[in-house]
Amino acid sequence: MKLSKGALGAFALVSALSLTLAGCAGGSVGGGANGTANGGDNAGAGSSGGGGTNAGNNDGNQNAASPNPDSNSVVLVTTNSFAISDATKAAFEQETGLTLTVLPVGSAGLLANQLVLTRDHPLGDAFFGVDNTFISRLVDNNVMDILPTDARFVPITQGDVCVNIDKAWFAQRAEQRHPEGAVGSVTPTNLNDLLSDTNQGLFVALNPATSSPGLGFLLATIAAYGDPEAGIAGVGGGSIVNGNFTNGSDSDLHPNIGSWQDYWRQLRENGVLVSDSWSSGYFSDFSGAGEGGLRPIIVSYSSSPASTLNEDGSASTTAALLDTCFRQYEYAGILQNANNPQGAEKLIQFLSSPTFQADLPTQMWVYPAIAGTQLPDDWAQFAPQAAQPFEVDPAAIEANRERWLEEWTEIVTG
Amino acid sequence: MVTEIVPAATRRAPNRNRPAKPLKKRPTPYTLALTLAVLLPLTFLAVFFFVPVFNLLSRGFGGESGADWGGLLTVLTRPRTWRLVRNTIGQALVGTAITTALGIPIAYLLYRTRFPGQAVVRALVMVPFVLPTVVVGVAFRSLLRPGGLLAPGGLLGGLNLDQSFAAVLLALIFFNLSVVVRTVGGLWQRLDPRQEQAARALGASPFRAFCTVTIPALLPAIAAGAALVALFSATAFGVVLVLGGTGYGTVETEIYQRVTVFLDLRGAAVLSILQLVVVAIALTVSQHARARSERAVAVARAENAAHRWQLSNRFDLVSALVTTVTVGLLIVAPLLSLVIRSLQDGTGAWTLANYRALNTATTGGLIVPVTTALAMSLRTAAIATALALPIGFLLALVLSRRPRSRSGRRAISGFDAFVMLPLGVSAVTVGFGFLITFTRPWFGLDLRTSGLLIPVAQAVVAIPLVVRTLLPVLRAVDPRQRQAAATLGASPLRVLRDVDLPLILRPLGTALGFAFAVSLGEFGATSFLARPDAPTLPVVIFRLLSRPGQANFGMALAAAVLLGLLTALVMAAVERLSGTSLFGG
Repeated sequence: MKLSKGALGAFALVSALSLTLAGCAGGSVGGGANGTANGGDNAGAGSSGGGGTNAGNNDGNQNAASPNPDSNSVVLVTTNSFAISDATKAAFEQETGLTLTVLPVGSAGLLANQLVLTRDHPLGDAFFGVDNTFISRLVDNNVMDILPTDARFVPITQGDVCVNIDKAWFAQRAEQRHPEGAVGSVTPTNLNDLLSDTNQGLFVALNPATSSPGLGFLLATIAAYGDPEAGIAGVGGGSIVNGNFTNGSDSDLHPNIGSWQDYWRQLRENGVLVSDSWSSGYFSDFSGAGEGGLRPIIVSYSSSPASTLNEDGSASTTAALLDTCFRQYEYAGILQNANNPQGAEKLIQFLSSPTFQADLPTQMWVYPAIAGTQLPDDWAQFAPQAAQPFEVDPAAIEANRERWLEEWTEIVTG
Repeated sequence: MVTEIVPAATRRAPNRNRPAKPLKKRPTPYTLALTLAVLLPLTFLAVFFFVPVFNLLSRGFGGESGADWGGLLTVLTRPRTWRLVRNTIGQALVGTAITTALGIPIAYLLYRTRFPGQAVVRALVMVPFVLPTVVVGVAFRSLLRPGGLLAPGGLLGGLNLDQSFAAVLLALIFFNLSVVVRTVGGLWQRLDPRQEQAARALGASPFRAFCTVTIPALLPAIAAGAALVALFSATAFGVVLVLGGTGYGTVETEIYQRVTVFLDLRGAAVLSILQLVVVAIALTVSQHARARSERAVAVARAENAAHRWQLSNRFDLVSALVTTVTVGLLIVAPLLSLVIRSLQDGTGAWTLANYRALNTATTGGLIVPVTTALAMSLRTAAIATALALPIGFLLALVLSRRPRSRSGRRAISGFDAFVMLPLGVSAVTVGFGFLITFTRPWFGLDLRTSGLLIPVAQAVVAIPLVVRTLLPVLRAVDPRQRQAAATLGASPLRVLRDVDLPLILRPLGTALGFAFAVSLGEFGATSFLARPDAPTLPVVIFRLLSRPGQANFGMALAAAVLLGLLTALVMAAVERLSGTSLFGG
């Protein structure tokens, strides 16, 4: 059957139309308000909005533009790991008279970038879940409104990325090597120890480009061994003695570590295995997860040992090395151009309240950021936090992230 | 040649609008309908794909400050960029070649012969298509690590596959086998066996008859399937991350990283365009192969075509062997390892605890019981399918026409490539494009946060699949069959109903299955786009896997098994519907 000229003409017309439409939309993106926001059914509006500055479109139309015009509801934009129990949610709604809508999107980085891109037309009123490795980006792009405390963001959760070990594996090895019972001499306790011959081929790191704890561990090594180019002097990768990191008692074992790059080069020589994600590394490669993995040392969290208790629950079969930790904070704040900033303020207050904070370990597997919050028993017993975690300034992270990740990839695969 | 008699016209007086005559200037209802058939899907794709993607790319290229060609040059002169392109092309080429070579004998066995349990195998082949990549990664890694079935010293000893190109290839075959099997099988089962029989009767050996009659007739479907696999392989994301290992990356993984980690829209835009170039080349090659081979072939009712499987038939035997080995090692082994682990607790004892735990909302902070997630998954998939199927059908209908004029044919061929593009653009590009495009509410509803964009985004990806599934069959319909019906007085709609529709009912079922499966297993758009309602099953699996504890791991695997089971059930149901009752056996 022959395709009629009319239909072909229509096809050409639509093609031309859609191209024009796309062209106009592209031209107006930089101007803030977007001419084609209403999509293809108003091509006319699209072409009229083609000018560079059409921010005026915003005026007089605030109500229609709001995703949630009534001030009785508040929208929280967060990550996929956000969780709130029904009871806690109900408590918030009863307390404030607000209806809470939760919009989860992907990871912390994904969330931060979406918040930046949607600054002029935010997805909600408040955000939660951007961590200290990404918060600078929100500051730089002026995404957050000022809180009553004059700050722009508040910490809600914290968690320590630490090297974890399979205690059973090391106990067994110690027994094989020292049948008399000299235990502990070969078990690693700090970053330096991961370079020793006895721990060759035992360590699983995570790719910092694709994994958040992976980035945390990279930052720990940067804080420990320094990055001269960024002006970061290393504090040392040995154990903490009297509140100071040391270079370790056996510093003659690794005398050439002048930077984190040196450290990673030696980790590579010592047979580090890099996994793309925490779940892949922990469940497939780590022997302590009980899923058939073969390596007894991995990058994980200080809270992980609370989930590897033995049968009677009296001890954990894994341990976090507390001298190897980088602390992650997850922040909350009010979004610029929010529809309901008052509601957002109340929500953030609630996220910092004991009711919500006490729920964090069981709901989201992180520690409460507000000091003095009661921890679950198994956490208090088996998942202590680091007394002195490594720290890197968020602004330095934002400024050097790309270079660090590129250099890291070069070193590890190079 | 024409094996179906058209009963339509005999009972009916000649129609007033005789389409047998050349069309006049005045638009006929037929022209209007055809125009609408072009307009509707095109508008959908323009609004929900081309405009958002264009917006993001143009912002990447400098936004208000004008085009930034220096940035383009910086990205293009990096050696890393070209390494990524090389990986992408190599992965797509090798993955497609192996998948197609393995898929053809399997399609033969599943659609050209009959044997007990066939429906089960057909459904089984489909399952990998929907499994979340995180889970598949875990399953494969358990087979690939020392001591595993596919590991050095294992069954396929000597291959060091873990974290390598080869591991990525295995996973690509695992995911995409169903695409080749379905597209090729869809046409093959409709192929009139009498042509091959005629060749045999004239003295051709079975092999010669196969090569000179069957393969040429199947080429359009093979090209279509291969093009899809090439696109899926070039843009594969999760498996590349999990199995490729550090340092191995493709253009797709780099775009993801540029957008989600660095907010480097310029780099992402340049890479997206590179990816589009690669995709365009792949499409042109397949288009070329198809154009040369595409012609009307005799299609028959399914029951004529398939024969009972026979040990004495060499084709049957070889195809059964290939299927057993491929499906056994690449599909059954990883799936079985998932099922087994989901039925064990941490100590290896058999239990149903993982499944029971799935239904208690509070365990491990799951937030919703699995039944809620399941219902959410089904609802989203149903909406996505309801969008993709009619739109894809209309597109396929338009694309199946063969205009007489050269320019008409060119337009059709260009349109064809255009429709395939959604498969070649990164989900993250589309997702972020949505965010900066739909900034104003539609009728008081912010589309970006309504959750509606998720099925829409899934439909955009499913549409090319629907088109590719229907098109080979529609194009294979002898145009004379339609002309005969028209000459006998059938209206165009009636021709559609009585000639085209009965022939494509089964492929329509396949397309429906594909669309549904794509949506069920989809994780990309689902995690990029905010949604206010309950999470889907893949999101729940992801959440479970990101928590420590064997219980959570076991639950994640149990949820993955449920998702796979659900897919298999849907596939089997579709098969049954389109195969017997609807088709009118």
